[in-house]
Amino acid sequence: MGDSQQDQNNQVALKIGLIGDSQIGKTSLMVKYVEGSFDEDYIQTLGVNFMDKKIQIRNTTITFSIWDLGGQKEFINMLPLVSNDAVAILFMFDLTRKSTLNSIKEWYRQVRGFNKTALPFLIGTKYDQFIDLSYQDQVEITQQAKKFGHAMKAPVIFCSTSHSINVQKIFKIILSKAFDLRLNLDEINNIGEPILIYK
Amino acid sequence: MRRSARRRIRSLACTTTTRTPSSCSQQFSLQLDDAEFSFDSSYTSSSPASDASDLESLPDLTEDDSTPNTSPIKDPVTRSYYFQDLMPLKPISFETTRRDGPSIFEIPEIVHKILEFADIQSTVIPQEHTPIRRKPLSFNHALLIHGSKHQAELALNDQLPDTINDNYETTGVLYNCLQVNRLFKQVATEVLRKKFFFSDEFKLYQFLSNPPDIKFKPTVFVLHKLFQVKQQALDRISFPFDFSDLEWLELYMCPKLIPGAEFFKDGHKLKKLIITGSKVIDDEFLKMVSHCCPNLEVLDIRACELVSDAGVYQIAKRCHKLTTINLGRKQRGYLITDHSLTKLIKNNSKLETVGLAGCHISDKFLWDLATVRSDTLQRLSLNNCPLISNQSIPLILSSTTPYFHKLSVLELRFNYQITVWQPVIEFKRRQEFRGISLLLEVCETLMLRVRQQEMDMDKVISQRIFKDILDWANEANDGDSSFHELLSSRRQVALV
Repeated sequence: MGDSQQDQNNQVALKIGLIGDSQIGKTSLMVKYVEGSFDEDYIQTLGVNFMDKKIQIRNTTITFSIWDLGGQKEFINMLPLVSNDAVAILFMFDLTRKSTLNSIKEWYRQVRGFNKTALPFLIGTKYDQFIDLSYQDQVEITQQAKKFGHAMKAPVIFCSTSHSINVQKIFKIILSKAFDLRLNLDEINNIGEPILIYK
Repeated sequence: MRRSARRRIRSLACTTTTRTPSSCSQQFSLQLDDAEFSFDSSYTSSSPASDASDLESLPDLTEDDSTPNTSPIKDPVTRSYYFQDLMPLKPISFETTRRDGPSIFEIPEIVHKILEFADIQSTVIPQEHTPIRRKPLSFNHALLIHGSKHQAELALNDQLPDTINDNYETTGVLYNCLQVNRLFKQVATEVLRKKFFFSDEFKLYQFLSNPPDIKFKPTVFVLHKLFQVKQQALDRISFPFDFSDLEWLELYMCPKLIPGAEFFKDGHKLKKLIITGSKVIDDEFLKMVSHCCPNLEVLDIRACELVSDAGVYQIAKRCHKLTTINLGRKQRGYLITDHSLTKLIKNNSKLETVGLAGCHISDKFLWDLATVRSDTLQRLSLNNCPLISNQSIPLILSSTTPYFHKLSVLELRFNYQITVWQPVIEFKRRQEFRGISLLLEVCETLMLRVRQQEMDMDKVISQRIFKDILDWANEANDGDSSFHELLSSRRQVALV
């Protein structure tokens, strides 16, 4: 790379933390976003995982540093590692397990203790399994999630890592929120569809 | 209660063992037999064996600075007590070690090593240390550099912790060694005669009125801030000296002193010549130096305002190994110009540090410097150079030229005529990319100018970043799949 190019190249780095109960798919989402691959097998995260995703847009390099905290209670003492200095925290739950959504309250409380400025996001995972639930369950979960998102003042996004639904969009919304930029993306609000509320 | 009582018992036990000379010497020799070179730990770690059980419950006092250390580099002050403490025990400790074979203190080679060690640890040659960065000129200047009020105040009121250490008593270690025995005296003399330095006029006159019986043959000769000392004194000091090994000659702020020809008789070993603030050093002197010292690497004649192009030209002609040259001055800058310096930089291919504060150099000279010395030059001081303009520094450092890629310090204080700073800021950022954190030293007015231009630059850059991000975020095809496909495929499965 020539000097003149280096001169023009602007670096932007953002740290993002992934938080939530175990077996939700935090690591899967991170691996999917960074490497584009999805593995069905479950590997429990011991402590903290960390990956960098670089995106080159003309003269700007954006680096997402993604930190993923193991969902087991014993790793809670590593929470500062993940949440300190993070620009955004993704509070994640499993759309097929209501209990994981209820845990968000406690996770949110814990994270706020370390980082009061990070942008919160409420992310429901396994949307591809969620659509197999009864309509009544879907309604209940969706409404509950919206209520949580409203209380947290957080965008609400349902995603499917295995089917590549709303994965890229999460990070685009993070970036536009972080820099206060206008996004033209349409919101998705209907029950049964992968919810995307961010405005 | 119990603990304190125990401690008292222990301390009593300690004192009895250490205070009695015989037992102490025994311990000393024992220790010698075990590990010859760890002798310095024996003196303080004298807890009796019966006390061992108590040790566990007590804070371990012996481990602090008396543990044997294989590294010769250690804080010079903490260790120096050793020889002094040993002194009263001398007759006993040296006699009793004679049990089998000679003591290490009787083997000249080892004694030599020990005293060299003591020299490295305790001798502090008075020297002006280069500060990490210059002191700010005013509070506003400090504020501009450091950003926060608190840090600005700290920087302004800095007592310069890195100024020279006044602890010269430590040099007494080797003088004490002179009094141990004949061998020690011989070896200590050998070590002592290699370095000669003073930073206190009173001590210098003491030395002159009662010179020790040492024939000095120094590699280092330093006089530091002896403002009032007269030439006569220097002549009297240097008369019996043998200067054929001299490598480093420094007269720092000794305005009345000029080293005579005897210093340079065998001058090809001289590598470092520092004479600052002298009122007597002139072109003739430099001419002599240039003839005698072709291997000079460091020449620092700051504020020697009698020196002119003529003297520097002589140096340029005959000295080709210079790495550091400093001709900075407050007055009579017109005496140093391109005429001598162009030759100097052409002939000295290893130049790393060039100090030309206050000199009347032109833009052309800086272009010459950039073309011939970019591969080596690391530090460049151009404070208060009235003839340089926008035609040199900003253009030389612009991104289209490959110059000064090793530069880590650039001083441009008081050069108000330079108004274009963007290339300099960009250069600083490029250097950072190379892993070099460039120190750009400017005065308050220029700092304001730099900050203003830096802000304008950043505005443009951040707008560019915003535009890039916005385009990316709003790109229609983001790589996600459509959920409609997923839903319709599920419906089909359900139908089947």
